[in-house]
Amino acid sequence: MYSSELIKGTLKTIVLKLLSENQEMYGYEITQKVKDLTAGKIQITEGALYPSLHALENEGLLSTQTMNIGKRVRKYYSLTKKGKSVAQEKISELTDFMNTMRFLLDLKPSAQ
Amino acid sequence: MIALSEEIIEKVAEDLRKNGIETEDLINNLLDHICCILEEELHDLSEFEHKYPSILSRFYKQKLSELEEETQQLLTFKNYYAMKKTMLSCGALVSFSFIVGAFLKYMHWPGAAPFLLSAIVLFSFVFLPLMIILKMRESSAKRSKLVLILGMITGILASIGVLFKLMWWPGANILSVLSLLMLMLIFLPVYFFTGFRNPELKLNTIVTSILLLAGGGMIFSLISLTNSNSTRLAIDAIESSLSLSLDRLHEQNNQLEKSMTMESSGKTKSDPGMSKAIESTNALIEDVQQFRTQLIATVEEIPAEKAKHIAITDLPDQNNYRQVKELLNSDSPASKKMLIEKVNAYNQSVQNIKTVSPIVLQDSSFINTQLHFVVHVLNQLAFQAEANKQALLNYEFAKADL
Repeated sequence: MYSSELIKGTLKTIVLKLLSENQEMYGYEITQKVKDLTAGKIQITEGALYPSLHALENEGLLSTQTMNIGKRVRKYYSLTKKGKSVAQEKISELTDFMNTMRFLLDLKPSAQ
Repeated sequence: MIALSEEIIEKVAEDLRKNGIETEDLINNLLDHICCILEEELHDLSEFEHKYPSILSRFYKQKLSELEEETQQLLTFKNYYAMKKTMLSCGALVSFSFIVGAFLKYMHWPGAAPFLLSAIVLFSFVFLPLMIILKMRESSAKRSKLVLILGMITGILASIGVLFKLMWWPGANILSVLSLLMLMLIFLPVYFFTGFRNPELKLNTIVTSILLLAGGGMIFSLISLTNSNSTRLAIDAIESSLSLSLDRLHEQNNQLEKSMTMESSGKTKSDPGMSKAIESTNALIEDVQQFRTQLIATVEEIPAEKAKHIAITDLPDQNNYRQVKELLNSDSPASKKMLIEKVNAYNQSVQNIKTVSPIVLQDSSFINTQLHFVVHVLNQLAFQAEANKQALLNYEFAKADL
């Protein structure tokens, strides 16, 4: 499992990426999906996920639909038009960042 | 997977509310999430009481209300970057306006006021508040938030005080003194003792406090800067020249009067309208003299006999405008209302006589209530009256010669 600091900076990108591949998802589903895809290496904590989801919704990147399941309400998130373009931006930004990091970290040992 | 009972769902929802989650949306999300976990992990409903606390504890580090706080903060500061951008561009604009405004002002060129006005308004009502809001987000301690807020209020007060001073608006000194008190008695002590306790910040705090004290002290020592020496000498010269002319005129009039009484004895009586005009002019001169004596005696707290003969240039240069103002606005015989009434009555009484001109005295003549200026106004008044008297006497004299 990676440290929560590493995950925190990439959480929004992960959520946006997942939603761009799946039409709509709810919170629990997102955490499970990430856990499955990464074989448990990345576990999104609920404490970080929900504030981010609310913020993304507030920024107009996500739209929601609610569904009643018995006594409780389930909220499904999906990308808005703006969300789709931001998702692309965030993904390419992170890819670029990872390349830079790789470059940076590979360089260090040989520089010594 | 088991089905949860309604009772359990309600219990969880109630527990979330009790632990500080207030946003309805967030409660729904968390409730669903917890229920999903419960459905996944419980084998029997009876395990709920036992397993629920450990499931809930996965959601937070110290307490559940962290989630609510984090959500609120993310929602409130969605404009974080916009605010930062606004603050920086506003700061650039403020600096530019300050430099241009100060330069124009220094050169006595027109157009300084709009620059300075917009610079100070932007600085105190846009830049400072934004800066403080953004800074408050970074610091979590209550005490440092207090320091920031106090600093903002002090800064706004000080810059508004400078604005009032620059614009000659009333109340500038009150504002400046308020901001000085705020700085010295509230902000600096709180700031100093907050930073002083922290070993890392100790030196920095001491240095900044000294800078603030020195800077603040220097600015505030400029507040009640009075006229320069050369200006004061120039004013003195104007005042003594007026006093001299007044004395001479008075002396000449005395001579004229004396020679007239000698000549006219035995001759025909003079025009009754004319002698009445001379009488009322004399009365006015007497009134102005009394007014002046009473004013000086009251404000300077000296006997009337001494006040009567004191020269305007011998009046001490003191801040007595408030006392004078009170006296002028009071109901006493030394009020400006009485004096203006007397002058108006005089003007009425001589309006048909062509040789004299009406005496000019308005409410606005007393706009500056330094004792010096008021006495100067009174001297001018006496001068006008003496000039009228001389005109009347000359007329009479010429007629008597015919």
